[in-house]
Amino acid sequence: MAEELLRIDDLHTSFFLEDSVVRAVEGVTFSVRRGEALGLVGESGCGKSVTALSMLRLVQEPGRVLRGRVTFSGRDLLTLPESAMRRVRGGEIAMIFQEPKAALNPVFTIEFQIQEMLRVHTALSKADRRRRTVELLDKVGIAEPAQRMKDYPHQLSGGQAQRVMTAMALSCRPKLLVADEPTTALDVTVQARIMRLFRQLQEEIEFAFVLITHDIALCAQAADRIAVMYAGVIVEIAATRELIRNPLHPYTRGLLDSLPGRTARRELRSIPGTVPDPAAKPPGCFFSSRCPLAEARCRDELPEMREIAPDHWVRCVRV
Amino acid sequence: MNDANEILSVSGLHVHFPLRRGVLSRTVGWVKAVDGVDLSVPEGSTVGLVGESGCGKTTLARTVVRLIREREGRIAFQGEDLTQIPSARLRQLRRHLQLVFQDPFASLDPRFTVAQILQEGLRILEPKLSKDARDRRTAEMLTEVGLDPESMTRYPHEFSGGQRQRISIARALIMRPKMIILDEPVSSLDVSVQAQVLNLLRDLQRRFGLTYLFIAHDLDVIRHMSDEVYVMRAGRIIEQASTEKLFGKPSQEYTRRLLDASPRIDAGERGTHRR
Repeated sequence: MAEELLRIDDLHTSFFLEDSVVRAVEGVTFSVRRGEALGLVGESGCGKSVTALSMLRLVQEPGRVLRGRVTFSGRDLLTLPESAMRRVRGGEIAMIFQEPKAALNPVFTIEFQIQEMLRVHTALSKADRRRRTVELLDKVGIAEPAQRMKDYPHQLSGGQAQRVMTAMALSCRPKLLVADEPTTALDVTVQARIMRLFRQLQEEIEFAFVLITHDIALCAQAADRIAVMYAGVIVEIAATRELIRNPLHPYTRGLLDSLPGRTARRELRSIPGTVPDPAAKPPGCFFSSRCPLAEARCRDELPEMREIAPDHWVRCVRV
Repeated sequence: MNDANEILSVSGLHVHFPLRRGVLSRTVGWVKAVDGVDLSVPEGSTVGLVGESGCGKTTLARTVVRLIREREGRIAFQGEDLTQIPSARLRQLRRHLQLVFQDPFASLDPRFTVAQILQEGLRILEPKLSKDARDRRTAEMLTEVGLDPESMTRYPHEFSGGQRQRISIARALIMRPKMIILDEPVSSLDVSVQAQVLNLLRDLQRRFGLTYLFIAHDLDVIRHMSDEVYVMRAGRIIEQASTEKLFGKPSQEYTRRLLDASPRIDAGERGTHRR
């Protein structure tokens, strides 16, 4: 097993609103191994994006990381001075987001924006930065990079914009790339090309990849391991094949059963009810209010993560 | 195709939008959003319409329900050409042809209560209905779509995405339509909620004998819902087949590409084709 690059321990992040406290992340623990692709999957509001923002210390008021530890290459990111943290962000850990066009600055050329990254994070000369920009755009599949890099973001399609974001993210040779719903706004054919690009780049440049998505099928194709989140906690984590073939948590099973198109036209086994209001989660296991297997003890306390099979962890007392 | 039991028939439909430039807004060209579409929907069936963003599927839907004017073409609903009949007759027919939009956050007026939203159409088309009768029908419809009739007095912001889409469906259903055009009805919903709404739609179809034109970009959803599928690209229908045939043996390269691109959980599994 490859060595751990990132380890998140018991991470808690809450948002302090005027009349309520939203516990968005409530004790998330997982690790990312060097060179692997980890899928972090869950429905809207489950805390997957807040987890990523917390580990990069990008959570904004009224949100606060309350406790936990984020160990990256031997350092605790949560206690690092801000100046050192700034070098980690965009340098050793890069992040890309859902709306590539919103993440790019509309008034600067692509060339300027990629070079800005290199200016901040490397000691390359101007000529070298230019060369590297062309090289990066070429690597992410932008045709005629030397010309296209003079374009402004509005001149790009959604797919091209996400390629440019990827080029920026990879510009400083990160050890870890965190992608939050990178293809959600794109058409399926474009999505397939971008996912292929990630895989190919990962083989070439050897970085670890955290893919945050609501799409478990996409995860199954792109990730070595999958962590399933629900209402602020990870409920199950295992190797992709194991998780898909042998899902143990009732929520993971429900998610898989809810997918249409697996078998033709039968009634879908949906999960009853809706995700609990994050400011008013049920007592005990957060899934107990929707769980077909729930019994009295499920409402007493939040179950611990247990290793049911080697490397297969589940947070459920009924398994 | 001209089935005896066909409820909607679209033929030779063209919808063009002008491209305007300059201070005088001169028309310098046309965007052919729908560029010669033929489509036939048999009564009681679900016809799926799939395509990527910008292919014209939403424009097609909106033209069929007369929210957008066509440049040319025929839209026959229950045998009557909607593009030709007088507006009074169109109003009568249109109640049997309802549309449910994609975004349940944008399509419900935030200042209206659920009762007001559901009853707006009734007030116009059945003005003689008493308030009691309207409220009874509203309560009935809310129950049909799995909502508490008590929620009548509440406002859209008090509901989740899935519940809002149920309200949209109830708004269509209260007119007792024969056909509903569903434009991406589940694409903004989480999978577990999406499954509930898909089950609800199938259940309502059975009980009310509804016909659906189901528009989506998600092939799995289309496959799950449809008897027959049309694939649209750049304003044209490029393939039409039964669901089984389209997914089993697509004849067009583009359809094959779409099928290959959509992530499949059983086929996927990175471990199997990597390193």
